[in-house]
Amino acid sequence: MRGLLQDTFAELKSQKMAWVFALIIIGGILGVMASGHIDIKTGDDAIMDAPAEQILSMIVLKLLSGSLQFLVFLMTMSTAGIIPSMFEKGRADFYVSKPLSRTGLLWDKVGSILIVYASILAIAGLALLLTGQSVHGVFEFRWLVLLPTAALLFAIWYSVSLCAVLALGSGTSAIVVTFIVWVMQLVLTGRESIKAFFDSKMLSIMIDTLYWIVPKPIEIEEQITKWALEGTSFEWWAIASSAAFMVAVYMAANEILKRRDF
Amino acid sequence: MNIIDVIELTKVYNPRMKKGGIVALNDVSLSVQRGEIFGLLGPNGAGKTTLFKILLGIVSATAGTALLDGMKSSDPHSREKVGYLPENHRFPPHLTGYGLLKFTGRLYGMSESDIDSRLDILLNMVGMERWGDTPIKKYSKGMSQRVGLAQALICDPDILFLDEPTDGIDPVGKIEIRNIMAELKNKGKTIIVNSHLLAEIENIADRVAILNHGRLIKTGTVSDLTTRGTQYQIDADFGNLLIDIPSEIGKRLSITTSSMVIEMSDSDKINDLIDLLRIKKVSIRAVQPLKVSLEQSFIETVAAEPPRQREI
Repeated sequence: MRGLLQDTFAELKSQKMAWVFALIIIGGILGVMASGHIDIKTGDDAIMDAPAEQILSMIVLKLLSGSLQFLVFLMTMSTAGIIPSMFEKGRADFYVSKPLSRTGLLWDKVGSILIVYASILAIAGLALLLTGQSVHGVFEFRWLVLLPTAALLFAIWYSVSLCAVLALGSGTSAIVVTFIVWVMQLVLTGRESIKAFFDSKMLSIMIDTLYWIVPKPIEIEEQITKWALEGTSFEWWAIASSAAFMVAVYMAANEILKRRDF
Repeated sequence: MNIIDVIELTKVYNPRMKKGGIVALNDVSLSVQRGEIFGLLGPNGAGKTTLFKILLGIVSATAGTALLDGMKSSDPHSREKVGYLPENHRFPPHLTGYGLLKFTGRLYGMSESDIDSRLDILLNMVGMERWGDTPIKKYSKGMSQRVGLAQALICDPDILFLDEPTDGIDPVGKIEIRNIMAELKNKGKTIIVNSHLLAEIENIADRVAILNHGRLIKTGTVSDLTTRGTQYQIDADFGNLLIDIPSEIGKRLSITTSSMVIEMSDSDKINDLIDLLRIKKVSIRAVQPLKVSLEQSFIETVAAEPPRQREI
């Protein structure tokens, strides 16, 4: 990756955000450890009709999923400025004048960002899982699926942020666009209620079309967490359509960069 | 042999603008020979940096061709042996001097051993050997410029583009950089320098090109540009002698007790003039073509240009 992986890691180390990530991981570990002190009632007094171990598993899994999602959110925000700073006035010349195609430069940098930040997610996830196993003795191999899922969700959000950055030119606008897409996918999770409320065929078609286009991280996260906990089947199309969206957006970002003068 | 060829190069920024966009380069053609130091001159907005950027693949040309060692400048392979020190650069601030050189070497696809073998040599060359482990964000402008020159040399380039290389450098540092350029030229490297310091260019460049309003208005050796055609200065003891110069030889422009400036009708007539002065018992100390500074020549050349036409 022509030094871009080392550079991305060095860049992360130099930022205060690395400490924030560390604090979140430590907070998650403490949360998992503390969950052993919850007085789980079983039998007649129980709120949930489930064995204590299953409730503890659910708590650990929710803490794991919540920590990873919070990390993904922070990573999306903190990485929005990386590409703009790379291509800002005075620095773009340094990168673009090297014997690398723009496509190669972009993919190497994006790949480096995804590798570095996915590694943090993996470290966070494994630390929480190890804590759950060693403190409470709860662990299922299928829980590991949450780690690549978190990395995929980060890659999806980063594609939106990257394309917005290259089209609009600033990290702030990238965060705004990413937030708009996040709101859209949140609203679209309630698409059936919206369609029923307005009762319009045209609107219904529009909402369905939009639903197919917009990525679905919330649905993916919910489905995967449920599968990790209960082993129930999940619908692949949410992942497939989101992945297709991500690939299309990365390709659009590449086309924008190829045509740009610095 | 040419190492850089620019053929009818045109660049129009924002061509979809109502007035047709801004013409940064207009039908520019020039060539740079292997192993020479080539100076690019022009007032602000003349198109010098745009020409650099097209040659380095940073900006695309609207029309025309730019070739680096026979390869189109838009081809990334054309930049494998090309170093570049940008103007107003902002290198990644989280890197140290060593880190910047290593990172640059990796971007060129160099092996770690090749990079390591050049680190100390280059930092020594630019006088930054004591500051290699210091983060770039703590460097002064001059230090940043020196390490910038080192990163431009990491790939042992055949062609070196220097955009305002002595910007922010103290007078001693400027001489050091000039010496580095001379040393690189002796090694057969080609250097293209863009600088506002014309005295500097005059001292180091073999040939120069003057751009104005995006057009190439003059190109040639420094001597070509600083020599006033057929004007000669004759240093001699004229005393109070009144010397009439026959019109077939030339026209006297000025005379003092110790020198005379004459516009020759033909350069070959200089011997006739010397013969005439000897007949008149004038003791001649020197005869030389009248030269002006590059700065004077530049100002006169640019001033003679019509006002800018920004739109097409």
